[in-house]
Amino acid sequence: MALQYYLILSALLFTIGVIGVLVRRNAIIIFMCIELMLNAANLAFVAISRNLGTAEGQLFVFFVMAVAAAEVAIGLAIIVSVFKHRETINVDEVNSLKG
Amino acid sequence: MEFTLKTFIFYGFALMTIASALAVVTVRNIVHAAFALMVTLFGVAGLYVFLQADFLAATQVIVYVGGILVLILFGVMMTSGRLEMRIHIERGQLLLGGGISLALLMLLLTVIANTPIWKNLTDDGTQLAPTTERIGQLILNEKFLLPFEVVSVLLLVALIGAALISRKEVRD
Amino acid sequence: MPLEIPDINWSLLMPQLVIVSTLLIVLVFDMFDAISKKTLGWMTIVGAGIALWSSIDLLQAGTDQTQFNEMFRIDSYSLFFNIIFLVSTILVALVSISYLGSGDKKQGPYYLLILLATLGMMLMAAGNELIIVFLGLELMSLSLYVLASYFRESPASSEAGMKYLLLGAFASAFFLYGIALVYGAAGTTNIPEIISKLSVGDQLSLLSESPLFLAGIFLLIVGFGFKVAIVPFHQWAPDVYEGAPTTIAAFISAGPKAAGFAAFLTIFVDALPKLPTQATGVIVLLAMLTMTVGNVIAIAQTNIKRMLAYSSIAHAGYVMIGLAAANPDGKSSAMLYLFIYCVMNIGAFGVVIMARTADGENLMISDYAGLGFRKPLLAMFMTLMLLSLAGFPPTAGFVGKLYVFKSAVEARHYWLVIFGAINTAISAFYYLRVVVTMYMREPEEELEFKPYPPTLVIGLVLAAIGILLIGILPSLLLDQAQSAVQSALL
Repeated sequence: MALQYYLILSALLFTIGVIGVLVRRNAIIIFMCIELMLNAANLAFVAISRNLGTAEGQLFVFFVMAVAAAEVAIGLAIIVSVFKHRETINVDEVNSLKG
Repeated sequence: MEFTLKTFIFYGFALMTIASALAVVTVRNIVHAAFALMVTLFGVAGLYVFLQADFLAATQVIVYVGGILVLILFGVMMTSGRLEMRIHIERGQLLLGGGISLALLMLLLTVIANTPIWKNLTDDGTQLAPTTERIGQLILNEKFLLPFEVVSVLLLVALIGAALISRKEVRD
Repeated sequence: MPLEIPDINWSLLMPQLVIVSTLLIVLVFDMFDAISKKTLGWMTIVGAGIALWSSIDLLQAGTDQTQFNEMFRIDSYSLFFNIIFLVSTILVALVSISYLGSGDKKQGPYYLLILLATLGMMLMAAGNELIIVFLGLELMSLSLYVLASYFRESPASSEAGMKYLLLGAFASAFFLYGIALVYGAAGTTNIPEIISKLSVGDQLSLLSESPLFLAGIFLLIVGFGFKVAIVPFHQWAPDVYEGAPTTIAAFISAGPKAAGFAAFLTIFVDALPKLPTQATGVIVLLAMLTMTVGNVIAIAQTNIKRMLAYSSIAHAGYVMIGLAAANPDGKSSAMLYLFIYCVMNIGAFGVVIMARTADGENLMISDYAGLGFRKPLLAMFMTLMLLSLAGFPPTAGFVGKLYVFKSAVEARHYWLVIFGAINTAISAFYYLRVVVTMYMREPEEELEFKPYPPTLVIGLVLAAIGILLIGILPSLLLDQAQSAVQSALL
């Protein structure tokens, strides 16, 4: 199994994430797509680290996971607070949008 | 290429990852999207095992599936999954977005295909060795003490920030 | 294997340690209700002040070392940027004390997050390793997302936070993938090592033409482009500046932009000459686009915060000129420009806060009509900041532009200089329009202005003195910037 396949897989995953961010409009789905992109980068790191024969790339993934967790915690707090405003201030707008 | 059980499982994981990632982007129901994301995350964890990153595979399942995904599901519940953002509205943007992404994909694929540095894993014959000890040493003994500390500060930001935003409103 | 704590010279990390201690102190004191809100702001200022003093101290001692196994640089380059960040932080904190007032909202987290963002910026400027740059970037960005949505009762502020968050996280993912590709091609994430691998002796190495490496560099440019808001990755900036609290808009437009460029310059100024010429072409093109689009759209704005947002996009374009020049003078002039830009931009946002009435903020340019005679102090500050942004002598803005253009001439980017000059003329139009509105037009209605808060005036006086001092004696700062670049070359 050549490592190239892992990189191709990660490129596909990354692009799917990019498409999602660019065409979807639901904030939480956009967030999930960003997670896809981060996972793609992580997969690339692990594959490259295997290619180089070091564990350093794996450490980057470890750090990126912590970053992703922090990002999600803050991101969802902000998204929920926006939702509270929309719901209480402008109900029509929330209803007019479809998931 | 020789078609062994190993390649068969690899393609299984690869297919699972890509198909579920496509589902995240395309399905209309946000809860289904979250479940599709879970499958993707498991698929990536499986690929980590193939790349001999056992520690990361476990971390992936615990942190991503057990933590991040659950948080996202909470977000879905609390917003009833109906929150839309007011950017990217026009239909032209959809085409533009698709075009940009395809161009990016072509770029990445050409680049990866034209780089001759990739090893063939079946040839090097290394045995699966646990990576946990090596990672622990790198973090605390050798190079990566500073990023480790920075990550701890980063989690402090998440703590303060999430508490600040979601704390009960103080009415004047 | 026993745990060995690496040998670390803590005295070299004083600026960062002071910031961390300050934020821990603020965190603890925030719990006591007896502590007045303003005290927390002053603690922040004192902490940042001590960190600033120790940065200057290290800079004058000519420190040039790395710590944490070459992960972290303490040299005159990173220390110079520390000074930029800390000056911005102090100015923003001064302005914030009066902007937030003593309402019953808890203010501890506000100052904490400002300090954390500052720490992130310092890491970005000092990072010798792409992973540190990434973590610093995330530390800064996450704090800023929260700060942008700090006014939770205002829908605009929350939405600004969300927009900033989604686009910022998107950009971070590009940046990270770029790092992955560069790591794959170069086999390392250590920046000096990557740059040295680009050439073998006098010849360029295979790496400099490796498609994988170039694709990684391309993704890094996209990621940075979002963070420092260069065209075509700028769309978030006006919306975020408009919705975020004005002090935070000032903060986002200053320090983080400088931090983004700090990392950008470390990687690219040394790498560009070793990359194919198309890479320089891309940077030149982005610089031209950024200046032109920023300035032209700024003309059409009626809201002063949006106008300042587009003007800050245009200013990123001027810094890009220094980057495109890719010579030592380009680097030092970009550093000088960033310093000046931070001071004058925070000053301009400070005046917007000064022009508050009891009803809230006056954000329409037409609200400034007639202020020249009714509020002479305010109008004077505004005029000075705008003249400096437009680049008139004897203000600092003129000095900044002059040196940036000079470096581009040395690098024979004549078109870039012509573009920059035309853009300076365009920008003078909309900056001067505000000045003309203030002095020549009669107000449509009588506005009741709030009295000037003392800390805001202190902040503005400091900014004004800085602008005039650098404008008249540019060598004060330029020498520091040049020696910072020189020491990096040795």
